[in-house]
Amino acid sequence: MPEKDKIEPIFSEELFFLLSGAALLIAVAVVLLFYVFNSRKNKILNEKAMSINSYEKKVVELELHALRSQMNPHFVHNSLNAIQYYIQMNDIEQSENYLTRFSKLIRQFFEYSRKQLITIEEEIKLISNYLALEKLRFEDKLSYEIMCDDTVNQEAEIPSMVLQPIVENAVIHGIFHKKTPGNITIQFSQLAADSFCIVVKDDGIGIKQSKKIARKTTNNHSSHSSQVLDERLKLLEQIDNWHVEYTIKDRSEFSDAQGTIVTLILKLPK
Amino acid sequence: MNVTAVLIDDEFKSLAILKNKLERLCPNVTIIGETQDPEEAVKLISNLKPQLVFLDIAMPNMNGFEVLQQIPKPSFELIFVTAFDKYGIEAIRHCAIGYIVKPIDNQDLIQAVSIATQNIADKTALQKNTQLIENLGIQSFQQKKIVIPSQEGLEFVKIEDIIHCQGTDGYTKIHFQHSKPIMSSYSIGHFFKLLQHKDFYLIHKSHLININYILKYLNEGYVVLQDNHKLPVSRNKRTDFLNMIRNV
Repeated sequence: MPEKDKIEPIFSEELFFLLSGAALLIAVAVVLLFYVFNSRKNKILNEKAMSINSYEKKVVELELHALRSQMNPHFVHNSLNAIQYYIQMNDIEQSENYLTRFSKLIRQFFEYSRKQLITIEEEIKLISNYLALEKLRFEDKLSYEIMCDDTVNQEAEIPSMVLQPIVENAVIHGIFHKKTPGNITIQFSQLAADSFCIVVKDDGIGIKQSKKIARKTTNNHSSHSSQVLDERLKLLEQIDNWHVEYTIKDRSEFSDAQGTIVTLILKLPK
Repeated sequence: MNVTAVLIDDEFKSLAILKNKLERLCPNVTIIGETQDPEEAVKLISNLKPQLVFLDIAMPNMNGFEVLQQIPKPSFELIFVTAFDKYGIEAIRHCAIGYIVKPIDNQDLIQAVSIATQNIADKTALQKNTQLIENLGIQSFQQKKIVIPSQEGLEFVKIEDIIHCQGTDGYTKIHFQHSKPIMSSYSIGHFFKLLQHKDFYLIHKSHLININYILKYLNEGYVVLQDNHKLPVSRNKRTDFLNMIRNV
């Protein structure tokens, strides 16, 4: 059947080339698009992974800093020294009392340094244990009071290991250099549903004088507790969105009293 | 030998511990004075002229170093007593002065007292104490001087002048920029601790070098120092050493 042979091809050769060219183009475009899309996706995933990594790294750093900040070698050795005294005096009761308190505090340090947040109740326990130990060392030279407004929600959580270095500063820079007995008060209050205020007030030699002493002593370096506090506050801002306002003033600048007053305002993250 | 001693510590407890231990463990020490007040300490030492002083570092208003500075001619042997003072202890060690840490270990105390007792005969305390005061006023590590006991007596050497220390059989040979080397009966480990600073690098278990004197590094793992000594860098330290050099 010759007619059949003559049947025109449905597609002309020209059209065929055109179409296959177009198909090729589309295929190339799809491959290209896929490639671009994939590399973008990888890039985004990588960035995410990187930021997770750096976040985790920071958290680890923070834990380390917190731990370091609490384990002030000065404090540890001075406490052990006082225990040695009671052992030597054969004062079994006081030796044991001191030793178990010290052990309790170290336990709290280890536990809380691993946590980013602790409840206000836990914080109060930690601070009173710490001050009780310092009191065993300084005896009549140190008195203290921890006050918490009734309105404060003690179950609420705040960043751990911020307050202790501040209180420690009050003891070793404020009270230590004072010739007469010194007093430290710590006041917790609730400012709003999501913010707290902690005021640490001492009647020591004041920050101006204590800075002068720090300058003339050989270890010109900023004190252990001040240094870690700075680092801790900086890292907190970066990681947890915690808004921490820290102000320190010499009381002689605005009143007849002497000493240092530190105000800490903590705002909960949204 | 009998030794007269004065004890200074602001804390009553520390003073009591030390006194008790001295009475029990160091019968050659006679305590002729003690005080908790640093200002009174200056007067007490000047008046009583003890042969040995136990001095706390961290005290209110005036620390142990300031007490030392206020005494016109500090020619007594010193044993510092401290709970923890990284910078203070480093300064004390540089001058080969004694120290013990709180809580006090009996053996440490006995040893420190016996060394101080031996030193009294040498009459080198004034020199060492003066050097300590001088070092405390110097900020730059390289400008400080360290005190090295050698066969002939005490050598006062500027850290800056030390090119390298070479350990040999428990002894250490110290090479200097301008003077002849000296031999110390202390091990290289002692100098490694004494010269803990970024400028000093232990390239090998028996070579501690002042990196300011490096002339070149040879790829086969040697450094050449300015005094033309070619010293090996341990295989496991090479990467770290090279990184450190690059960062300088």
